[in-house]
Amino acid sequence: MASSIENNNEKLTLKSSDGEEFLVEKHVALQSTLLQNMLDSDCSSADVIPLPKIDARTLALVLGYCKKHADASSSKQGELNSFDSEFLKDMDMGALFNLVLAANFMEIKGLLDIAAQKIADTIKDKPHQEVREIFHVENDYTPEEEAAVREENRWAFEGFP
Amino acid sequence: MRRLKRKAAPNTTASNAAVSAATISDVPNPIVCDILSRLPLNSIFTCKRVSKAWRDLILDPHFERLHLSRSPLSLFFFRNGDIYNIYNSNSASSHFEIFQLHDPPVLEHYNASLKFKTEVYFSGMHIEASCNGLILLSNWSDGRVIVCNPLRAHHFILPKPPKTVKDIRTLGIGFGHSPATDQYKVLRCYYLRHNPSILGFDIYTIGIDDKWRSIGYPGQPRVVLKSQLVFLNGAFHWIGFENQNSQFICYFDIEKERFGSFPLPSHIEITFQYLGVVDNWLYICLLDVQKVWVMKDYGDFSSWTLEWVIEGARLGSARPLKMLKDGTLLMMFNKSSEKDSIKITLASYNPQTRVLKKIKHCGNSLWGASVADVPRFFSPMDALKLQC
Repeated sequence: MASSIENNNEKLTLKSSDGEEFLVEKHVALQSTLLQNMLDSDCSSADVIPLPKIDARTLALVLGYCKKHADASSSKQGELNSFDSEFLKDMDMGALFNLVLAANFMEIKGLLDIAAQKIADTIKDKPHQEVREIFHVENDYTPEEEAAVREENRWAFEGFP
Repeated sequence: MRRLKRKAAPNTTASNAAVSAATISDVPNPIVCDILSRLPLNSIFTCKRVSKAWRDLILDPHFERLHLSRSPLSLFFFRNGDIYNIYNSNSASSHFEIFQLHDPPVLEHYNASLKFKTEVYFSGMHIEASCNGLILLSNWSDGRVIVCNPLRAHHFILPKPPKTVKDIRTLGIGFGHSPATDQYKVLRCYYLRHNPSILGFDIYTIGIDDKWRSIGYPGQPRVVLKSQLVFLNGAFHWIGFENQNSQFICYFDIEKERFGSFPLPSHIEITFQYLGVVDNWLYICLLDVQKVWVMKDYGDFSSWTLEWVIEGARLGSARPLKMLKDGTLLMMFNKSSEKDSIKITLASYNPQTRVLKKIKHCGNSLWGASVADVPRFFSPMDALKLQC
């Protein structure tokens, strides 16, 4: 890690799946465990690092998150928390899934956490038909299996979701 | 971060595939599990009905581990139905009510509880103990014992114990699990009516035993059981004493099926006490003065510490439930109100400021009608392959 402190202004280039390139300060990139491991294993920062699974729109969001968290590491947690909730506000489900996938691929735990929580908050208290619609999940139950689920839920009071 | 100019002609097929919006089917199962494990109990129930794939995820041990890591401790209440009002189907059926506890506590969360009605056979029983989300219900007068998981509508009826209420008086029933053998065992402690100085123990291993087995008590120390059977570290524990100067924590190791005891410091006043477990510490709570002693190192005589002194007598007798992340202690208070009825209050206690804050009244309940445990969707009964 010593090298990352010495070369704090060093930058590296990330390339999205749709070919857009992003110049990123090294300390920002280090928010990602994937990139950190690549840099630790002497992967030259002069190279362009391709991220074949992440489109430009998502990567821009991810790097925005990383920059805030890298720069604010010594500042107050409260400020970061309000940034996090503002960051995901009004984001549509497709963008959230993209973000979850990117955070998972790039191994950015904090981002994965808040995006997963945001998705969970969206389906909280919604009936199962609505959850199916939001997530485009196909109902793959056979009638027998559906009966088995009802049987498992038979103690649940009527009116229970 | 600086966005660079787009490079010439990116691969079009890759670009189209990547830019299209992701759906849940693109998200790997471990992350779907992660998302679902963050939901409150009622929503997890809902999600079981979304699709077969989701139900399988929720009933998988991996989901269980994630769900447990978020430590959703809950309070289970068993409320006996009104047997005199059988025409009102809701009031007639005995039911469980589950309050999910949150860290930090948020008042609005407690306004919602989950209710599970049960089979007719359950009426007249009370909660005795719980283990891994399984609840043990019993009726001391007719000897019935049931183990059930309300979340899955699973239940298993234990055989009738060999001795009836005419011969014995039950002192306590414990319920524990041995991780080494993955067995669930139920221990009943009683004394003989014709000779109350003799303690007896019967044990039943779920899924293994056909009937209860009698365990001979060695008779040393000559104890009188002073508390219910509390399960910790593979053993049931209770307070026993011979006289004022020799008091013990007695235990029964469920794997070796062997009794043992370790002395309890005499400066711990054990009259009117309650023995329990909070965050893997054995504790003794004095009911009148609200002093809570904990044994910090299991089995170490000198590690008993007066951990909390709580001035909340007006709320009733205290039971610590869980240490929250901010250092406050979540507690339940039981206060006798009307005849045979207990008023239950959830509160948090801050050891620094010594402030006790009431969170919620959880209604009235009969004695012994509640227990704190983590509800489980992956039912151990699945693994035991019991006929439920």
